[in-house]
Amino acid sequence: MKRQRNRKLGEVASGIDRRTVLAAAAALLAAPAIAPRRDEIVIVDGWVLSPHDIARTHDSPSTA
Amino acid sequence: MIIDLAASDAPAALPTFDVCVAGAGVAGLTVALQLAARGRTVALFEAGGRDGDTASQDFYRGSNTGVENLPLDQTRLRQLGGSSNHWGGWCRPLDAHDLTRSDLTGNPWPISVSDLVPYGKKAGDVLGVNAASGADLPLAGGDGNLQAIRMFFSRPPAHLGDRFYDALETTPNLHLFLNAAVAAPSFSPNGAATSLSVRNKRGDIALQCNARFFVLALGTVENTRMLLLWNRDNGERVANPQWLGRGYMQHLHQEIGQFVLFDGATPSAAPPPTADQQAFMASTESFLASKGVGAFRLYSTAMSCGPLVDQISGIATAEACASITAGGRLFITCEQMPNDASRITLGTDADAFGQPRAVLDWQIDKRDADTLREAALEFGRYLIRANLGRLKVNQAVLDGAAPLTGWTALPSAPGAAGHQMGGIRMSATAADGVTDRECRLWGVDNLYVAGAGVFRTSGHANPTFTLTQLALRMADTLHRRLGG
Repeated sequence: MKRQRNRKLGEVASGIDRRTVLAAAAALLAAPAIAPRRDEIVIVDGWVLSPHDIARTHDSPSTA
Repeated sequence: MIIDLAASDAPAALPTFDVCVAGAGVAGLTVALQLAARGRTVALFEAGGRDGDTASQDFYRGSNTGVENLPLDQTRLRQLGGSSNHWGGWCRPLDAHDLTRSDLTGNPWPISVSDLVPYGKKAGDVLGVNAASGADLPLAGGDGNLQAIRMFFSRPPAHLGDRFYDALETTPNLHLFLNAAVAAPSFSPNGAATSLSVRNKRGDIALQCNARFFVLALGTVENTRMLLLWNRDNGERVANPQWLGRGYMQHLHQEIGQFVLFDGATPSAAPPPTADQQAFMASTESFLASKGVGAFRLYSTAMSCGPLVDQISGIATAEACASITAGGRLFITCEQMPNDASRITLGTDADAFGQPRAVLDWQIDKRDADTLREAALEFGRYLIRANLGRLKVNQAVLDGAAPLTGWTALPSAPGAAGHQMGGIRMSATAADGVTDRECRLWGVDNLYVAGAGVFRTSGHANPTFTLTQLALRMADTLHRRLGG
């Protein structure tokens, strides 16, 4: 359920203005946080991200 | 007292001094003033005048044959106060682990931080340190790989020639000679230095300075040039000349990424050291031990987060983008990995005195690119762990491209500077360096080298503070050897 919600919001976040991103994200803040495993990062277009940051619609991120 | 050889008649003869110091920059002034304050007789020779001029600067002209670098005659100033006339005033001592790492040059420094700490307070006084930022503290939410650090500042940056001019003028047992360039030493049959010849820039005044001890304090490149020259002309006085000129280092400075911060996130408790800069964190000993890269510190400037939000929101979930309120550019100042191929030699071109100019073959390598990449990734991990924000690393850094240097680096990194270190490294044995733990030349019992040329490694700290600590320690050593 949460994953579906992330994908939806991830799609919404693409190419929209920041206010919209923040408004959409606010809905997620109530969801329980999932702590990333230590040292596990994903690099996409230079961004150093937690695996949990990645929208499931994104293809094959590199890892480091 | 001050005697300007450009304006005065030469003294008929000079007395024998306790100590002769060549070079009145930070290191030379520090040694000379400390010894004079203890009653020692000191001759201090400065090749330039009270102010700089192009004819004097021309002696610093040399060739850069390695990676792109700033011109040698623009990075150091040949005048009273030396390069303190254009420094930025940033100070920090080397960390203890900078001196104990043996993985960088095969051996650690022959001194430890406990040899320098007693001189920290006085070094701050000499340099006019009057401000500090932050504290050396573990980072909340971090895992010990990065730490908040304190930086110290001389504000406005103290120009030591002006700062100590009155003392130089009124101290009777300290003779400062301006426009007096050292030429060549003389040695006794037992290998000790006995005198130093000095001349004014017109070449029409020549003096011979006899002393019990000699200190070469001309700056990293110029010290090396003179030692190479003297060694060549005096029958290999340096005990192990293969090290002379090798291991030249500069800090690397550049932007390595941009980041966004979540609402309320503060990546450090450190207040900004200037209106628009923040020096806030550095590598820890455990991180360096695990990664084997150079020491580094990270700092930032603010930037609009709008474009970054647009980028990250196309990649990450809205959850990851939640409450982004600020953006920043991330900069690094890092240690260059010591490199024997990076070296200073004598060229074929000559200066106005007919002496060979310096050739600097500054070399960096893949390990330096690794330092930038590992530093960036670790900062990115820290932002995630502490849930502070997210980092975008510059692609060239991720790709392991060569770090930026010279003019290319300058616009990328506010505060970038040409910190010149190494080439005359200190060592526990003559086989492994040029000077001993007292900064005394291996092979010449009474000739000392002051300045950052003796550094074996560079850490990330700006070198002026450490070279001042070493100069103060040298003054103690010489005072002791003179019977104090």
